[in-house]
Amino acid sequence: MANNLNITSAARKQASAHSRRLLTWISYLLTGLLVVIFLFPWLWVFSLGFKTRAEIMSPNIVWIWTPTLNNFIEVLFVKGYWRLIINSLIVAVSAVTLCIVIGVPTAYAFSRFPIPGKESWFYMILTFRMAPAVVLALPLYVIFARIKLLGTYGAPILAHCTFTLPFVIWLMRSFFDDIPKEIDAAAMTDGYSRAEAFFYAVLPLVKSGIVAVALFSIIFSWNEFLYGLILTSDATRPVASQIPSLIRPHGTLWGEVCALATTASLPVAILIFALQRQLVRGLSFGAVKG
Amino acid sequence: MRSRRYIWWWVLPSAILFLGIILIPFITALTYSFRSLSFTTSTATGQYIGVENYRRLVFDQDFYNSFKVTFLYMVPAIILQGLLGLGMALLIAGAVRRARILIPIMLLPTLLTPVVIGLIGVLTLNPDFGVIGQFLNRLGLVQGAVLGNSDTALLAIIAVDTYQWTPFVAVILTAGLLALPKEPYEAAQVDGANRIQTFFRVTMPLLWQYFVVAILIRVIDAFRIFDIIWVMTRGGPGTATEAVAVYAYRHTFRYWDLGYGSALIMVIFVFISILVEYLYKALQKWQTA
Repeated sequence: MANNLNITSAARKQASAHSRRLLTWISYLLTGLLVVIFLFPWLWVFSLGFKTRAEIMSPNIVWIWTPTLNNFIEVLFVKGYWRLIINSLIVAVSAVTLCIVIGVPTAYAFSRFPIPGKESWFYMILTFRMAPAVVLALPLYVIFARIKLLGTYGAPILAHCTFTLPFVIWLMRSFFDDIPKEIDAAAMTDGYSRAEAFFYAVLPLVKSGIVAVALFSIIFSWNEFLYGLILTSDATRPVASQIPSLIRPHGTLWGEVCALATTASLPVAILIFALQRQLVRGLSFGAVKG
Repeated sequence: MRSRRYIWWWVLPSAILFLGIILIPFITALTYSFRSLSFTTSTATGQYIGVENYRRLVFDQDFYNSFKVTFLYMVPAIILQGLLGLGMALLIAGAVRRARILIPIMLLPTLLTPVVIGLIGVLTLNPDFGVIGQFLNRLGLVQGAVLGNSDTALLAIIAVDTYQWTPFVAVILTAGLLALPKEPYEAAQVDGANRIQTFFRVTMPLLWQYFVVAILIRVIDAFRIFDIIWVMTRGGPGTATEAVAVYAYRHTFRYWDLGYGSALIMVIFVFISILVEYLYKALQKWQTA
C-alpha cells in the first residue's frame, strides 16, 4: 500500500515537471510573439523609408521589394536635414553636460548634508519635472525673446535643463544613497577634505550611475518636441521638433518622413541597448534598483 | 559652522539654474495670469485685471472639454495598460530572467521619440495604405479615416498610447516579480495553496507597491500628453482629442493670449502638483522600506 502510494506520487511529480516544462516553453513562445507584435509597427514604418512613392501608396501592401536609399539621400543630403540631427546632438549633449556637472554635486549634497527643507525641495523638483512642457514654454519664450536668446542653441539647451536637471539630481541622489557614508568618513579620516573625498572616493563608485543618468537624459532631450519647436529657428531646430511639420494634409512625402524618422530613432535605439542594466531604475525614478 | 556655509557651494550652481529657468519663468507666468496680455490684441498690453482670466476659464466650455477629453483618454488607457502590463509581466518574467536583452527590446516603444510613435500611428492607421487602417476598413469596423472621425480619433490615441506604455508597466512589474522574496512562496506551498491562491494572496500584495508607482507615473504622464496628439490629430477633429496640454498650446502659441494661457498653465500646474504629491509619497515609502 505504502509502496503503491510512492509510485503514484513519483509519477505525479514527473507529470507535473513535464507540464511545467511545457508551460515554460509556451510562455517563451508567447513572449516571442509579443516581441514581434511590438516591433512590427516600427519595422513596417521603417520599411516605408526604403520604398518608392508608388510602393508606399499602393493599395495592396507591398511585402517584397528592392530597397532603395533614395529617400534617405533626398531628405538628409539634398534637402540638408542632416543638420537637424547635428542640432539635436548639440542641444542634447550641451544640456546634459551642463546638468551633470552642476547636478551631481548637488545630488551628493542632498544625499549627505542636512539641507534645510530637503524634502520640500525634492517635492518641488519632482513637480516641475512632471509638469507639461507647455507650463514653462510660454514664460521661457517671453524671457528668451527679451534677452535675445530666442532662435539660438542657448534657448533649447537651457529649456531642456528644466527637465534634465531635476532628473539628474533625483536619480543621482538615489545612487549616492546606495553608497555607505562610511566610505566618505574613512577618506576624510585619511586626511581628505569633503570635496576630495567626493572626487576620489565616492565618484569612482557611482561612475556607472553617472553614465546611465547622462545617457537617459540624452534620450529625453533627443525626444523632446515642444521646446525645440517654439524656442528655435529653422537653423537650430532639433530633428524631433521638425518631423511633425513635414506631415501635411495633402502630398506628404511619406518615404522621406519615414527615412528621417528612422535616422532620428537610430541613436536612441543604440542608447537603449547601452543602458540595458539601468533602464528599470531610470524609468521608475530610482525607486526600483536595476 | 564652517561646514554649514560649505554646503552652499555644492548646491549653488544648481540653485541658480533652477531659479533662472524654472522659478523665475514660473513666477512670470503667475503674474501674467492676472494681466490682460496678448500679442494679437493691441489693447491687451499687460494691464492688471485681477482674477478676470480665471473667471473666463470657469465659463469656458472648451476648458471643460479639454479635461473631459483628458480623462476619457486617461482612464481607459491606464486601466488597459495596467491589466495588459500585468499579464505581460507574468508572461515574460521567466524569459527575462534568462535573457535580460528582452527588457531593452520591449522598451523600444516607450523610449523612442514620441513624435515618431505618433507618426507610426498616423501611417499604420491610414485608410488607403496603412497596414492597420486598411484592415479596419476591410472589416467594416471603420468608414474612412480613423483619425478623421471624432468617434474613433480618441480611440486611436488610446490605442497608440497603450502600444507605447504597456511595455513600461510590464517591465516595472517584471522587475518587481524578479525581486520577489522566495520564503512566502515556500510557506504558501507548505500550506497547500494552489496557483490562483498563491497569486492573489502572495504575489499581488508583494507586487502592489511596484504597481502603484507604475500607475502613478502613468497618470501624471497621461495628464501631460501632447506630442502624440499633436502629430496624429492636432486636437481634432474639432476638439474631439484636445487634451489639456493641447488646449493650453492653442491659447498660448497659436492665439498668443498670454494672460489667459498663463491662467490655464497655473490650473494645470496645481493639478500636477496634487498628483505628484501621491507619487512622491509612494516613492518615499519605497526608498525607506
